[in-house]
Amino acid sequence: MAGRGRSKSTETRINEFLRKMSLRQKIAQLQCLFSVFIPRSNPNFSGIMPDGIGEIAFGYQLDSPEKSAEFIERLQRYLVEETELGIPAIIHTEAISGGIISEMTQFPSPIGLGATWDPDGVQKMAELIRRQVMAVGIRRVLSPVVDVARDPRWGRMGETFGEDPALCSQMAVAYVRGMQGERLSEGVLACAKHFIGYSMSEGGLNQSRNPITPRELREVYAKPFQAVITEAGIGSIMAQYGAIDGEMVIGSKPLLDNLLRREMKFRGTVVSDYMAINRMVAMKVAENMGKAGIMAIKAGLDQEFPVPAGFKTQLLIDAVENGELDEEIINRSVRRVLRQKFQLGLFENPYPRRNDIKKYYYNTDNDRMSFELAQKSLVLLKNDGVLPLKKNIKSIAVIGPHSDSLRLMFGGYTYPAVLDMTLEANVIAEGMEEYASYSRSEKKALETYPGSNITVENPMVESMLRSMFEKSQTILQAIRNTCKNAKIIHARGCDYAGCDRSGFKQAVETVRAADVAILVIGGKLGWAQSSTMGENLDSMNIGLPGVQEDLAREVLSTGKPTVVLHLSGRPLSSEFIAENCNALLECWSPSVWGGQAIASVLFGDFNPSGKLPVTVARNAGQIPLYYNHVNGVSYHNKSIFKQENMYVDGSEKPLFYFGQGLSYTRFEYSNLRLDKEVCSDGKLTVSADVRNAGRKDGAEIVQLYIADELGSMLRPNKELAGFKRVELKAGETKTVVFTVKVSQFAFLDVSMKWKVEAGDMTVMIGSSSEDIRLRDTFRIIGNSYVDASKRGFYADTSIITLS
Amino acid sequence: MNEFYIFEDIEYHEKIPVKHFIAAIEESWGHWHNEIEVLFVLSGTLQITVEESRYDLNTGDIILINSNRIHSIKSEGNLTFVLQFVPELIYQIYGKDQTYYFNLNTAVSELNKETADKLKSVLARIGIEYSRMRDGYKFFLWSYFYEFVGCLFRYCDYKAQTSDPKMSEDLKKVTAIINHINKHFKEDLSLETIAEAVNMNVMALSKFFRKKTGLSILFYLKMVRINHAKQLLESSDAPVIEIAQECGFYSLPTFYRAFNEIVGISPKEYKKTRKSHAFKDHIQLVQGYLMVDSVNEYALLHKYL
Repeated sequence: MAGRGRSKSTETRINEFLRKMSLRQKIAQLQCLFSVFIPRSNPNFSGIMPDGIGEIAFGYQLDSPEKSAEFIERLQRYLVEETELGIPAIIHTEAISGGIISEMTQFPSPIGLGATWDPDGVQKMAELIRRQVMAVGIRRVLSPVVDVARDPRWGRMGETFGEDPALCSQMAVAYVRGMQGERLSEGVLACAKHFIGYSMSEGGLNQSRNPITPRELREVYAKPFQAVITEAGIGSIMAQYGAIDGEMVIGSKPLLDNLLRREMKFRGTVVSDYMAINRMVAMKVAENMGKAGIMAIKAGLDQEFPVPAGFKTQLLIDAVENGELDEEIINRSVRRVLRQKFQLGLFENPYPRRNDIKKYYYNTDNDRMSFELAQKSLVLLKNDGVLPLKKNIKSIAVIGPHSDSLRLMFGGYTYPAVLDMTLEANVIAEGMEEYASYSRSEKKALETYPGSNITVENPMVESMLRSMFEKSQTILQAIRNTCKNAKIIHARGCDYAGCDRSGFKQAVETVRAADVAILVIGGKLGWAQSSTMGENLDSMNIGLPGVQEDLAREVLSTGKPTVVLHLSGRPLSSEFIAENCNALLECWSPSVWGGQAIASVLFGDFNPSGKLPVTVARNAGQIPLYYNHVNGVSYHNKSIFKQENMYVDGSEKPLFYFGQGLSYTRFEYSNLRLDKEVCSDGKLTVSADVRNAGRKDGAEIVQLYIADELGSMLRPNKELAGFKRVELKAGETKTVVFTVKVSQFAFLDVSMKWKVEAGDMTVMIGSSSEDIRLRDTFRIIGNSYVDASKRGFYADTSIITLS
Repeated sequence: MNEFYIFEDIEYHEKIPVKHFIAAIEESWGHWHNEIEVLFVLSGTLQITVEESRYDLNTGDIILINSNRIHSIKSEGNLTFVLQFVPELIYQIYGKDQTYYFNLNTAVSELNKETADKLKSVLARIGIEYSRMRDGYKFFLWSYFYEFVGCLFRYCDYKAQTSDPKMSEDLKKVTAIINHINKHFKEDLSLETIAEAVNMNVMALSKFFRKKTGLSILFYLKMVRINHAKQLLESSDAPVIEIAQECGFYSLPTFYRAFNEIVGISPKEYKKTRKSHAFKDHIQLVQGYLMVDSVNEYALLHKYL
């Protein structure tokens, strides 16, 4: 782990390196190269990295694991055997929900993982990703995303674990533990991103200004970062593109040094988001890339990804020679980079573990893991009894743009999204015959869905995915395979974007001819311009793209029982659909096994257990809307006059609440027990019994919330303090025990010191943030100030099974 | 891999005497090789001349060019899967007494769909297997390759002939002519000087060359010269006049006319477009990211699997 294992010999070896390294060689260690720029056959390594290289960005390609491993091995062999110093590179890739390289297991998107409330599942997922990436020689992943997401306009919400700092913290810690393992020499460096405040921006726009106060920055947005530093010893943190309080984060000493290293006690490497230093020039705080690079390295940035722009060799050499930059600052970052290479054991073995390819790829256990996480990620938000469907049903109409698509089941930063982007920007989108004369300047404008800026998805994407993911089924295929006796009729109805309504009539006729309708709608996640949501794909409207809402109106107006399935990186914000559908299943981006997982819920083979990791707004006008607003504001306002914090043109309440999600069974809560008095440096123990009172086996996410009854500062009306996913057979009762460090309740007092404040606190245990079943109070005895880097972040939990 | 050379000395991947690649074939002049060659058009169209016959191939067509048949290709734009293998691979199993000539050309005679699908699927598997290079891929390549040859014998017309001495005499003669041109194109060559050098009379030479290659000998000379000019334009920044002279053109207008006739654009335009194509064969810049040809390869082939 970062900061540990600094044996004397490692430090001695680092010093030896520094003594013999030329300035060029030092700078090379802070640089990164993008593997896609390096030809696969006969790469001229010595021409492109004569002084060695710190890092290689890898991925975005269709190479098999074997071919990736072969390339990485050749590259490391060059660095070790043919460069003067013989320092291997760290190879990194993206892996928020599986590595983005061909054959790596793909998992549901992080917001869906957030909806599982299953940190153990996430940790196992990360362990598998670790083994898969290590097999090909990758030793850092630019994951997890630990941003607290409270603005669904922002296109990257789907890459986060949701809106709550405790939920994000626990999921992120699970991910990092799985990824880094017990010892880094057998692990992969995780990289928490995007430090800091990236998710809360003006207008929901990406790479923008982040209007967050210093207090909220620390209490809310820094909490998951602090949790992965303290609880999991995370090795690296990525600095974001945006700006806080007049400074670019990437060039901010107060944020990268004072906050991250001094206050938060981070000891690993700080890396740049891709091309983030360039933003300092665009935002006019640096006159050129050279100045921008100097500002960034002085602020505490160690490595620039994915290619040198501000950290170009000559720029930094000039800066040292003309006195603008002290070489000691370069040395400081070189030390950090080398230390991590020692911790990773790269000097002993930098090579791929090729035999692990057979062990950890092409394995049905991996499929099972992804399938089960997909099942757990599905959140049943409404059910008037239409679900589960009976398998002897006669006919089912399956409608909607997402009903028969593999591509639309995948989130952003996944392998299919890479493929989509690659094909879109490629000639294939414009017709293969032009390949021979293709050059970038000749590229034609891509066709868009009528009435929109969204380009038409290249049909090659779906056809390639179907051939690559042979065992995967679309939702339509899975329904057909699960319910073999029923007549399954299908109509797309409309595209996922654009204003073409010509398919409505057929869709409505199809619905009229069936006993029940399943309407499958949502967004498309990715980088390609054919996506409706993703990185730099933000939107004003948080409802359905295109004419899907109108399609839903037509379908619902038939009066046929209708089940709505929603697939996107943000939840469905549609008052009309929520009110008029018979059942609503939030599916996020369920990935490869999404079709089968959804069918298992529709027909009752799996009892849904997912809960919302975000509050669902009715429309964008309510943003930011989240469950833990401070006391007395937003929908929590309990004023007797009830005039404040209301809208004249609609409800102030969420459409669905944080933590909400239905089951096919009922859970009863009882027997709340807790310590009535705790010391400010002690622990609080809370327990409750949960019983499955229905006839079906199921799982409940038991949620513990805490509220401060009176604070010296404004405090949230309630805060998630811990949670536990509990499997319960029909009739079974289990006791859930939460153990919470009282330091977890610390907040920044008026002088910006972390204070645990004496006084009365309310404990709430519930099935959602709104559906509180048990309530009691306890008292914190004595004020105290705590080291925030050592405080608690979420409750430890255990389960006692009662006979 | 845009152009073939007249004597193809085919280099093989990984010591397997079978070669395949996907190419955008712009132009390939009359040439031959010992290898049997299979062309499978993945997109666009090709005009191919085999000895004196000319065929128009469309997307999805397959043609097999038998060993040592002189062929040339012209295209406005295509991506073509090319498979080349030495006939010795057949001799290993069927013996060396006979040479096998396959009749596979879907531009002339349609295959039944089942046979066509079988052949295309094997070629697609060869392409994808090679591009992915999973462990053991060489064995799979061998097995797919033998499956392909097996399909040729099982499903396609072919005739077996004892080797033809006249045929190899003719090839020797064409080789001599072409060798002479390739060696001396920078000099002031004419029909007469070539005829003298290969010991033929002018009329016989002219007729013989056209019969064997489908091209006039002077046109062939012009193509060799312009091809050299293209290479020089790509690799050097020498003035056009020097390049023209270096290629045997002593009048600039003649050079411009010839260049335009063969290439379709002026030497200056050619230089400009080639620069922008510098990376075409490996990588392309895409929103700051790049794509590689393995994506293309898969995209083109997966539907035939």
